[in-house]
Amino acid sequence: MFDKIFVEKSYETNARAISIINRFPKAKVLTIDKIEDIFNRVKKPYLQKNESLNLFLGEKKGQLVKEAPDAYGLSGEPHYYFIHAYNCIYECNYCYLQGYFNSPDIVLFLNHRDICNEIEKVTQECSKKGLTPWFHAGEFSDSLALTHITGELEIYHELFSRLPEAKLELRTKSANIKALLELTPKKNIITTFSLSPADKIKKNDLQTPSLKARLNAIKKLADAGHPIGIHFDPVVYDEDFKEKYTDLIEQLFNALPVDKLEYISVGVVRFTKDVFHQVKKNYPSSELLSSELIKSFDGKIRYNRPMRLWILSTIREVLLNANVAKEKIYLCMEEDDQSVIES
Amino acid sequence: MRLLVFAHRAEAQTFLKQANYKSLESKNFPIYKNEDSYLLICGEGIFNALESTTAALSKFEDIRVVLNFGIAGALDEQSELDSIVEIRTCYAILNDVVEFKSFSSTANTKLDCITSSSRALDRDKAIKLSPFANIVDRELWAIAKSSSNFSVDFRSFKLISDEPYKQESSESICEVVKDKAEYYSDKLYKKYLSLIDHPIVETKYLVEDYKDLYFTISQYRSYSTLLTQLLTKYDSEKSILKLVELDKVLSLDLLPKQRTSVLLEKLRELLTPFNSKLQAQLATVLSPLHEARIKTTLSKNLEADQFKISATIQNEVELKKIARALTNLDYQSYKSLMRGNVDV
Repeated sequence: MFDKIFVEKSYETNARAISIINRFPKAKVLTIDKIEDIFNRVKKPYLQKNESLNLFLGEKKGQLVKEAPDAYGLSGEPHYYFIHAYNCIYECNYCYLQGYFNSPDIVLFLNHRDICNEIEKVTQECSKKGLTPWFHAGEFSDSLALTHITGELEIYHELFSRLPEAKLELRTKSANIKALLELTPKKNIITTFSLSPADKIKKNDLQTPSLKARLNAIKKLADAGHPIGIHFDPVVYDEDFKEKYTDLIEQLFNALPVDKLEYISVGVVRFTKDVFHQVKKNYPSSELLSSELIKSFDGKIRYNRPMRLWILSTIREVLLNANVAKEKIYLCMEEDDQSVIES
Repeated sequence: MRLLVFAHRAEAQTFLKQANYKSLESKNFPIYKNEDSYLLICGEGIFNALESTTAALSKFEDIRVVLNFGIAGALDEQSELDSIVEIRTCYAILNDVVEFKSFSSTANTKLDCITSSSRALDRDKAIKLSPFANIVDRELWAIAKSSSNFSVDFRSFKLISDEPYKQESSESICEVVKDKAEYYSDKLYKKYLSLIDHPIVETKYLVEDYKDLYFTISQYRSYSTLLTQLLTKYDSEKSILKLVELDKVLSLDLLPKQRTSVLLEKLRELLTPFNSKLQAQLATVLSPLHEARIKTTLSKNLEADQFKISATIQNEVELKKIARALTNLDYQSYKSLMRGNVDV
């Protein structure tokens, strides 16, 4: 999987680092002073992740917990994300990571205790204000894809068991739930799966588990009592879009009883200018490029307003017909669109 | 025409002997030409390579691809001594500072090269460079940068002449390389011949065979763009032409150029099914205005409800007609469409 593993000098004897390195006996291990001496120093083409991927192990410095951007999660509460990894083993052709870092190499930060301390501090501040903070893992990586190797899940599980007033979202496209199933379900630890119709997963979520595998994982976790959330994001239009989502929603609620759903968010495909440029460069024959995208009011590339509002309202209608409670449906949209809908 | 770039004359010696190159007049760098290519001796190092490749590409506008041939050192065990490898991505290090920018060729290989401003002849230097690439040379990054500036593709073929990552000292490498220069040039020339044995096949569109269609240059460009986009959804040009019912377009009682316009419109509709329906419904809602010769301009990309109207009034009858049309406009239906209540 990895050609080379670069490990920071100060983590050479770290038990977690050694355990991760031992999982990849064929990789060449090199000791470095700091991750930033090598990672991101040169522009490594994104698609080389399929041919020669490297792994970096070390310490996350600087801000460990950050405020999430607007329209990130359920509204009304403060949202934060914490950074324990950069980059993802999957290759979704719309992913913003292809325009974010200058390298597709995977970075795993191992100072989880420092991150936990920071989460605890933020939680205390929010509690004083009577707010429930949400913490999202996986802003720059998949929350579960490598957990059987990285082993950090139990650290965060222990932390959030002590912080019932805070919520943790583990966002994933994987079906890698082995590590999670070994932990006691907690009300405030919500695993959320990003889903799309099966053909869209095949075309766009490259190297990821199939819809069937993800639905099986959802069923197993739900049966074990773990809270589950769903993201339909990004929604990509095609002519039988409504039928595909009706079918997807039916399959979803065969795996997950509708009353067990914590929440579902729906977001229509959109790109920043830079990411769209990368998609064009990396996936010139992707169907995403042939779709009806325009440069929108804020410079982002997305469907025009009537189309994106139609898509959101169509999915909402299908969800309501499937008996999903209105308050559990969250439509991801910019403020401008929100005000149009409300007016 | 191709531009073949070598750092040293010794590396190019077989090419110069075998391929009938004639010297061209040049003040600053040796350059040669035969019937299908130019051959440039760019000199050693990043700055020489950047300067001379840029000068060649500026002077000869018929260059379509740059091919770099030369010897290089291996920084790890990924490439074998004496083998010729094609480079995927090139990086650079100037005076121990890594350059951020990289350049990728079209090569489907796994080997990257770092161009160093100083010679990398021993293990210590190789260890510093190996996190970034598998191979080290002195010119490639500059050649690639220059090619990129002129939007010309580049490819690079490196013959692995030494393995600095195995060398404790740098003393003997240069002598060995000099002694084997003719042998290296022969090998590189054979590689070049194997590349040019495969001529490029030009693509032609099926639609060009139909005499009942005529494409202006801009229509041809539109067709090419639309087809490229549609081919991400459909299998072939043939299946797309079937979907838009080309036969019916061909039988229209129109001029060939007009038939082409109809064909392009149908292709656009196929590419943007949602918006085609939306536009048709908007046209229906706004039809009272159009019937009264009021021109409507919708917001850019339909991102806002607002639209502009313009009309010319020459007499009272026209004024009343416009007033009636505006009164008859079903604005709520228009607004509803703009908010996504579209019948799809």
